[in-house]
Amino acid sequence: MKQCPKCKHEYDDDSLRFCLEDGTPLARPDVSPKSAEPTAVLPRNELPLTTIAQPARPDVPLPATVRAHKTTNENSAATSRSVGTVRIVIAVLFVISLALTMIGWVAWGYITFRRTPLVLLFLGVMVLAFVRAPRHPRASLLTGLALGFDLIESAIYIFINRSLLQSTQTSDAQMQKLFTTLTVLDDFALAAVFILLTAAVLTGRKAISQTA
Amino acid sequence: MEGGAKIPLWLSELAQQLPSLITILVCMVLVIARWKRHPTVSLLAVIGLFLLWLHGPVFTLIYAQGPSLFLGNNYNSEDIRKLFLVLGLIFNSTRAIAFAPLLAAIFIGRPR
Repeated sequence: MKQCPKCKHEYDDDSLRFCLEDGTPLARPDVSPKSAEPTAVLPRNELPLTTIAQPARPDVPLPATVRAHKTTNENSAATSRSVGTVRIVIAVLFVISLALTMIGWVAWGYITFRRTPLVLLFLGVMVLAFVRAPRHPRASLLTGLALGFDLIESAIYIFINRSLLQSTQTSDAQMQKLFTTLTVLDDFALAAVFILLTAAVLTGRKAISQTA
Repeated sequence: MEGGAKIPLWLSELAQQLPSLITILVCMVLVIARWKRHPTVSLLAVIGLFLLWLHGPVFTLIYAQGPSLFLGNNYNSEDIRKLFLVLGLIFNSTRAIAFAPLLAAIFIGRPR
């Protein structure tokens, strides 16, 4: 409850600082040292308080309030856009990986059948990354990229390997060199997968004291 | 004698895996450096990376010694095909097991 010392008009809205009739600063008629409440400490993300220079009007939002709401809405829109992009990337990689795996099963039989445990694990984790993308988009994106890349790269590796074995124009020595080069390239790709997965483990982490 | 002759083959195939083996070691160092910040996550990641680091050399050795180790001296191409099918399944299953802690480390301990 506040009261205008000049016209004695009473206001129930404690956020008002000035009399709406004559502009006089409002006072609390019942304020005394005994009844005064302790100073409240607002959290950091609380909106800024009104000041004498910027009196609060219920019908006119403060510029700072407008800015704060606008920024919050923009951040929320940007986050949902990035989550959408992450989900699209993971979904595309998932579909390509699944398609290549199925083509591999049909075309090369047991060669790709041997990879089934690993393929199932990777596809399952890609689904998990897709589902958890809103909670940690960067970690999900890195995981999806790593696993999708590995599945696609392995399918391409098997395809080239099979094609080389079927070619009759290459000598044994040339074939050996080609296989060695292919294996080393495949290993570099695996190294890239380890880097992406380790980055996914470490990204967006806070120390235990911060999360507790 | 035959086993001894296959050691250079094993070493040359191991050399082809050096990029990933060195990368795993570097990743392990990075994860251990963050141990105090999130010990459970780091422990899982290190277990996964260590298993993956062991996986390559161990299976390279098994593949190199496989035919003489499991089939003896008398074997035909069909035996070899079956052996490598089984070895391939074991190779990929154990690799999936090695990847599991690393992949679990990505998603655990994150704020909701």
